[in-house]
Amino acid sequence: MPGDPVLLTDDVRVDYGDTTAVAGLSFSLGAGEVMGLIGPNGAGKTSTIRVLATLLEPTYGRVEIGGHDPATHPRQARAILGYMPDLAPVHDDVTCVEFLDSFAGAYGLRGKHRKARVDECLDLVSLTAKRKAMAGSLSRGMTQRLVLAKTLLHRPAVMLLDEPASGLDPLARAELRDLLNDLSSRGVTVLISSHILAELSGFCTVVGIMERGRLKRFGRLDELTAELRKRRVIDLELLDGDTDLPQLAAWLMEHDRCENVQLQQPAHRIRLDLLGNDRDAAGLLRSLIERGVPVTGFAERKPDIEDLLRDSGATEVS
Amino acid sequence: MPPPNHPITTDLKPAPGVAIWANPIVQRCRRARLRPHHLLTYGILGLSVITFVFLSTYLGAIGRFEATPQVAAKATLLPLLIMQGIALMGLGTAALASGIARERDRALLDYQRMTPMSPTAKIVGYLFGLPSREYLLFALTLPYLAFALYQAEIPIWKIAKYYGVFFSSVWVYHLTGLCAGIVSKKPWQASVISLGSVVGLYLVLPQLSFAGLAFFDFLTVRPTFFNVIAEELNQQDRPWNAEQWMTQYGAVPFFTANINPTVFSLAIQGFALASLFTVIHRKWVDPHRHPFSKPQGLAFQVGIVVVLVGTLWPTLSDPQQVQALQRRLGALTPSNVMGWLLGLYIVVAGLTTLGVAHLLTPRQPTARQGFRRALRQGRRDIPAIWDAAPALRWVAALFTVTLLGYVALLTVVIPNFVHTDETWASIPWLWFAAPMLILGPACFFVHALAERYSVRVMLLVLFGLWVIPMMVSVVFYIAAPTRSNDTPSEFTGGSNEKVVAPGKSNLVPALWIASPSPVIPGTLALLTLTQETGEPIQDWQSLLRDPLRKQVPWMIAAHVILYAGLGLWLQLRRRAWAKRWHAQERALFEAIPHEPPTLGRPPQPSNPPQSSPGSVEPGNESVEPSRHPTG
Repeated sequence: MPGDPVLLTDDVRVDYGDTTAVAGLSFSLGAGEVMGLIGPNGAGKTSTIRVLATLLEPTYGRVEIGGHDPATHPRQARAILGYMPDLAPVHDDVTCVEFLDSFAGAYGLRGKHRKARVDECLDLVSLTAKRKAMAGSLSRGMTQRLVLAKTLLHRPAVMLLDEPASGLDPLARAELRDLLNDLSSRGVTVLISSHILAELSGFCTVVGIMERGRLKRFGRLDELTAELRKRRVIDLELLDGDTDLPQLAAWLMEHDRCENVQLQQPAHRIRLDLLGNDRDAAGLLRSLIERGVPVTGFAERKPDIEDLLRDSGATEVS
Repeated sequence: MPPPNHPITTDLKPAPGVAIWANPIVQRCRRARLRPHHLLTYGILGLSVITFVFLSTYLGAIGRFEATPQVAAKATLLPLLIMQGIALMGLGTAALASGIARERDRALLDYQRMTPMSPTAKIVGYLFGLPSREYLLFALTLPYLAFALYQAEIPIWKIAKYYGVFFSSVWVYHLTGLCAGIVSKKPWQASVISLGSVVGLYLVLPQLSFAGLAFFDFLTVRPTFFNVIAEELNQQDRPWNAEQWMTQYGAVPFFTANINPTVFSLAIQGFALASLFTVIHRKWVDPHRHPFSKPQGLAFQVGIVVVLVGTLWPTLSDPQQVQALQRRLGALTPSNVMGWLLGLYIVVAGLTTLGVAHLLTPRQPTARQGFRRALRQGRRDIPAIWDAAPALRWVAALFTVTLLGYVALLTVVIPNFVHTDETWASIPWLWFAAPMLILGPACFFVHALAERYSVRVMLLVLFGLWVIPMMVSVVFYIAAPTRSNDTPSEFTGGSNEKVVAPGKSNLVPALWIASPSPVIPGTLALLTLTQETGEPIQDWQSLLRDPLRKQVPWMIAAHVILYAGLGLWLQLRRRAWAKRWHAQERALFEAIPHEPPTLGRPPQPSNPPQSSPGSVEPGNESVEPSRHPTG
């Protein structure tokens, strides 16, 4: 981990009355890290983000943002924080440019620099054409983009994004991914909570899985997925209509190297766990072809965040 | 998407709070609420109404009554000032309350909370930004007002005095609206609360000024208006009863001093502004904080008591003022006035004591969170000034402040009103002490109740103990048949008309039924005090004659025992629980080592020592705290 942590939580606990939302939360992120925070509903993700965003005082625990403790130095911490909430609201009665200009002023941008930065951020989220439109008239996706632009205004060192891609069309999602990758490469630390796991896989370097207020798993994505690779998942694709899938599945289940055979009927696909090495995989493929099974695809599936989540025992993804 | 230019910025200086014109929140609100189409609509509507009122008054006076321009200009002043008041105090307060509640409801306040501007700058931003339209309406009256003031030749210092108090009063109402918007759940509730506050502060509370408690009136601009502006108006244009009000709003007697009404208004409004600002500031920084910190709550109570005692002191010490108030109230004797004024003090100071005690008392979850936090910070216990700290000593301090104020009043009351043979033993001490004997245990009980139960349960218990017995008592009393041989069955109550009262055969049991409410023993104690100290008045005395009079000390004693006992029981239970729970938490904390986190390794599986079942009561925690090292 190069340098000092930019984002640090140490044994953070959050209570709402008698309910404990987060307990024993400890992790740290360095500059340029992108952390995906995942977990089922009620796992404590939003509470965690609100604590980091200085919007919620934890019951106890240490939080540091860029070396500043929000409890004692809230201004310094806020100056380097960008936060985009879930279902991000906007002021309905101002235009996009007025909305951004107001926050640019609140963050201390002045004069020509302020105007230039507002234009730049509108451009970043492809809303230049809508600069004079009332913020309340924007679609959900455009509203998300406008709030993202607001989040970027003061060039934060730490960005906290709660479901940033919800409401975005595929193109905008791709743009968001590129933007976050770019920010990350420039040293911005990003923490994202998202239920769209595929989109997190693209650019997360660190993953935290929360369940019932606890950080159940935490670490670099490559390290965590490497643990899952001890068991190889094979996707077998077959020619449509030419195979008796149940019969083939029964044969595979009796095979001494195969486990957990799952029939995916409409797609004419079988997923199975292969116990063994590459030689065993090659042996299995040869056996299939010798039996006359019309194999059109035989590929090992690389474990991703979804597998991590499943492996951690979480049942519902939010 | 072009690559972002992202040199991370940490040296930006956020907008300062005092520079209202540069405040980004003011700028945003001004843009949102004063767009050209708004300006056109409100401008046309506002100007039409203002012009109509002004011209019809001014030209009407000249045309129909052949008044001089100076007299006609004076006639327009009152309508213009009323329109200004409606625009800023009424509409402005509602705009603030609903605007801030809407932003809070939609989580837009979170954006503002997260900006590095100071909380003061943000509050100032909303205070001057949200009522932009109302300030526009106010501004539209200014040309007419300037013309009228010039024509009427009103001295500039009088105008400056009036508008100094006017704006101070406007900000009191605006902060009330902001406060309502921050604490209420829905925007419409905020509007209703804020408008209710304006009506209450303007129309209801000032009525107490006629009854001897003048300071509420000084939250409004009315005293300054009658003191400074009214004399400049034409005789026929003055409000109803203006002469009496002009006399009444002369120098304000406060303790032994006479204070200029403008200075007194600014002082009272300054106190209100400081209190409201404190609440809003604290709620802004953290919505879960108590409205007052413990020292702030005590300071607030001290302020209230000083103002109350200072206002009542001159009346109680001056026989002429007592006589004047006696005439206003239609009271029968000076002792009645004394009883009334002491009653006012007890009600207002008692209610604020109970209210502030409730605000300072932490609920059980808050206390638990505070203890855990304190433990983490290496403390043995919660520091006394934290919101989560037990508030018993603070409640005791609040009550002591109220008691001291009462004792201060008694130092004036006893020499002036007690008709005794001038020996200490002849002073009816029990009756003087009775109100505080009732208030003290009530405070203790409310505090103990608030410490242990939720607001809902607390209110329900208080309703059950303080209101329902009075309802039952009324039903019980009126259900009894009137018996003509129960004498007397009628009393005058101070008026000339005879009021026929129901028979009193069951009056004593009915009052016993109602006695759990502090209102009943308190009122009976004051009535007895009035009777003991003053000349006997047959009708009033008859109400309290035997056998009822003999019962009153027992009622007070029962009241004290009931609430002191219940409060003590709740306190002991809470303390026993706290001792047990604190020991468990401490053991849990000390048992486990703690290391800072690092990246790269997942947290260790957590198997903290579990609290024994029932150790957290009545908590139902979903997750036990972990003290395991992570990373």
